[in-house]
Amino acid sequence: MKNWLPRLVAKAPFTVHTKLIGAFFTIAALLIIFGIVVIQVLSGINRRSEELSQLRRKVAAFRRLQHDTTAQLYSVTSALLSPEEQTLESSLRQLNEFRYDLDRLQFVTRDEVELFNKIRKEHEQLVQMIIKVVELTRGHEFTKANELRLTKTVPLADILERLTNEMVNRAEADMEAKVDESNRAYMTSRWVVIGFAVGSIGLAILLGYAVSSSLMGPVKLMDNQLRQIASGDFSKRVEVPNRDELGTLADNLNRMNNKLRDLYQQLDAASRHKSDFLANMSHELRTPLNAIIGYSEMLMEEAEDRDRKGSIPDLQKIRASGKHLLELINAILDISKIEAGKVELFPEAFNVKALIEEVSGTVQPLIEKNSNIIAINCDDDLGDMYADITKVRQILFNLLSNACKFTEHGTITLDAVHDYSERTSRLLVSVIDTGIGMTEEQMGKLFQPFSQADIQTARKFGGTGLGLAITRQFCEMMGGDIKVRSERGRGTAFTVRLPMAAPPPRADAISSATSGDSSKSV
Amino acid sequence: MKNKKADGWSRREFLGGLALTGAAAVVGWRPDLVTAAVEPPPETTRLRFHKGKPACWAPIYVAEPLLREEGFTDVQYVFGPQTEVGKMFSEGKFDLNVGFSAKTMYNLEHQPYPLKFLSGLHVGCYALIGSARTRSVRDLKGRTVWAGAIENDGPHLFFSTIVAYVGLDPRTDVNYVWVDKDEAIRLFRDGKIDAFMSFPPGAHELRHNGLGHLLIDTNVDKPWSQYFCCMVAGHSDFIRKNPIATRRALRAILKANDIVARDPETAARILIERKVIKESEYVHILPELKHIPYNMWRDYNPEDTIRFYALRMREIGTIKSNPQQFIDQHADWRFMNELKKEFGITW
Repeated sequence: MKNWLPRLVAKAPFTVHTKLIGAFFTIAALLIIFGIVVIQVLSGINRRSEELSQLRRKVAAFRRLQHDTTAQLYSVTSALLSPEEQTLESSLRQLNEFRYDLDRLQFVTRDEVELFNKIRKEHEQLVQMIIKVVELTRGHEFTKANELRLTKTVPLADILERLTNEMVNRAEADMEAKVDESNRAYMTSRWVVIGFAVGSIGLAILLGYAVSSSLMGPVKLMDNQLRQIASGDFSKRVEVPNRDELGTLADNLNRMNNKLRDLYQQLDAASRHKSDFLANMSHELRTPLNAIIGYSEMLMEEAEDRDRKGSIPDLQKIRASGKHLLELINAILDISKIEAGKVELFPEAFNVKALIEEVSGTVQPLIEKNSNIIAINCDDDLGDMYADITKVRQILFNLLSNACKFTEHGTITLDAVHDYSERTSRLLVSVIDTGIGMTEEQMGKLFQPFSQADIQTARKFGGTGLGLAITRQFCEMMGGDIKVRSERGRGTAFTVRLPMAAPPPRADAISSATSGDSSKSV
Repeated sequence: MKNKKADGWSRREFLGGLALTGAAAVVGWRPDLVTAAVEPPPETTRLRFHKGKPACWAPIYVAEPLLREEGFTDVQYVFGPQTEVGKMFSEGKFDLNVGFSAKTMYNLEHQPYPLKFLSGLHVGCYALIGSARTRSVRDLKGRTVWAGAIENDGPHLFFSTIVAYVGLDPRTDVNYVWVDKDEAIRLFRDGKIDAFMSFPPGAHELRHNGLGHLLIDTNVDKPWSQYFCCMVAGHSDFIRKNPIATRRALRAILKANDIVARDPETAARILIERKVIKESEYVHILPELKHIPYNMWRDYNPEDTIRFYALRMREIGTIKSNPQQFIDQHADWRFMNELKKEFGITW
């Protein structure tokens, strides 16, 4: 919106609809004016052609008159030299014919009237003089007739000839002037038409540019603003000069931005408070729980030593409950740490196959509990991995323990391969069970904290609903991801992809983890 | 000052001028005392003419004593070659000028300068002399001619209009030799050129020596004899600033025209005194001055001359302007119209 014209159009206090209609009408008006100009030019050319044609006819008629004058004067002069009555009569008749020629002339313009009258006057004088010469000739006064002819008739004839010549010259000069005028008019018309066409096209383009820019500029700005809002940046405002619907829209967008910013700030504060609270509470709870577990173990040892075996089962229940509670608190502590952005990665090199064997050994009691069997397929070239071993271990443990929990009398398969297909080599671990499986809807909220497939599942199988959320967040922190495929009643397959060499932790992974967005993982 | 000294009015010439005025009275012209008494004096007493070679310009030299009577005490004839006339005119070195109408129009077209046609001077004067091998103008197709020493000078322009009038293309149908007049006469005598475009005293000189015959005599042959050859023109600024002086000068020149017509011998003598021609040329100039119809200027419309030559030159592509443009931009007939009654002009 740097240009003044789009800004001017934008500032115009009309609706977008009115502006668009106005632009179309302007272009239509330009076309109409251009058409009128072209018609005017064509009319001018046509008019000048007609005038030229008329002048040509005029020149031709004047030349005819000039020719007739010369011929008749020659004829009369010849007749006076050989005075026969028949010839004299003929000459006088021809002179009278000339009068009719003059009368028939239709092309005399106002400025030529004076000259034309002079020709008529000179002709009359010539006729009178010739009549006198003829009379003298008829009276056989040849000397007087010849003298009169030489002194009066011949000069008069010369004048008449000159005057008719002048008439022709005038007409020809007029025609030449008209030709020049026509040429000049053509050149002018050509430049007018070209200029008008170029001007109209330029104006139409300019108008189109101004209108489209005044519309699209704010739209782009608002689109950009929406992207900023979507990425959580509420710091900017969209400023548009429009005084139309787009201006209103921009104002509303700014208002929405402010509202969202306030809400976000409130939510952020609440989330921080929640995390802080959970972290503090978990810490505060773990201390007495550890004491309970420790004392229960001490009491169990004492009971065995003093042979009070009757109290041992109760003590075992106290210790198991304490441990369960501790695990639960640890999970809450983990998720709250993640949400608070306090989890750090400590990468180190370790052997993947050894880790998988260790974890599978750990979950062996859980496998046996539901009469499942486990199949582990590891590539021979898995080799070493450079990552946070604690997090990887927890990921594998969570997936395997989940599979054990939801599978009875089934098979749990762990496949581990080294994937070289992408630029960064990755570890692909799939944990596939033949358990109860999930619907699409259940999969949709699978990775959200404190969420399980459904309430019945939670009641039946227990658990905090934090395991998979933590798993996914750990994966993303390490530059990997997790995907799930499942079919109700047929089983579930989780696939984790992790880079063999851990990159630095991703900030957006942390933020997206805290926002609970599950779209990437499902 | 040099010009004034060279062309100034000596006592001898002054007395000669007075004698001429007396002669004018003898041949019938009397100063219009009434007009002279009523008209205010000229705005300037200085008048500068272009002094050229053509002998047909005799009236401007004959007019000198008449100009003095009109109130001009400082009459100068400033020499300048024909090719420099436009430039000198632009520089304001002349007030009045006489020149071939077509040539002037050509100059105005190609090198515009502030000039206004004021009146016609005389018709005719040019002649086209053919060799024994040519009977008519049309016979000149493919032949070699002399039409002046410089292309597009007066003789060449006149010749071009003459051949174009009979349907020849002056640019392609005729071969030209561009040599000076004496060399051209020698070539003509040797039979190496077939036509000679002559201006005074060329035609008489050739025929006096028994060379060639007249193909066109513009003094009598139509249409050339119906239009002015030389016309009087003035510097636009001079005319604008000095309308009375212009009218008085024009009156004197036109009266001189009549004097030349009636007393060509005196006019020829004045040309010798003014060193326009040599004494030896008197014998050839006199018949030419007698032949040129100086007394016909009253009957010819100068505007039609401009039309005629402009049309002819435009036909052959020598100029692009149309006649009306020349008339509108370079003609001022006010003074002629004012003098019409006084002189009994018929057009």
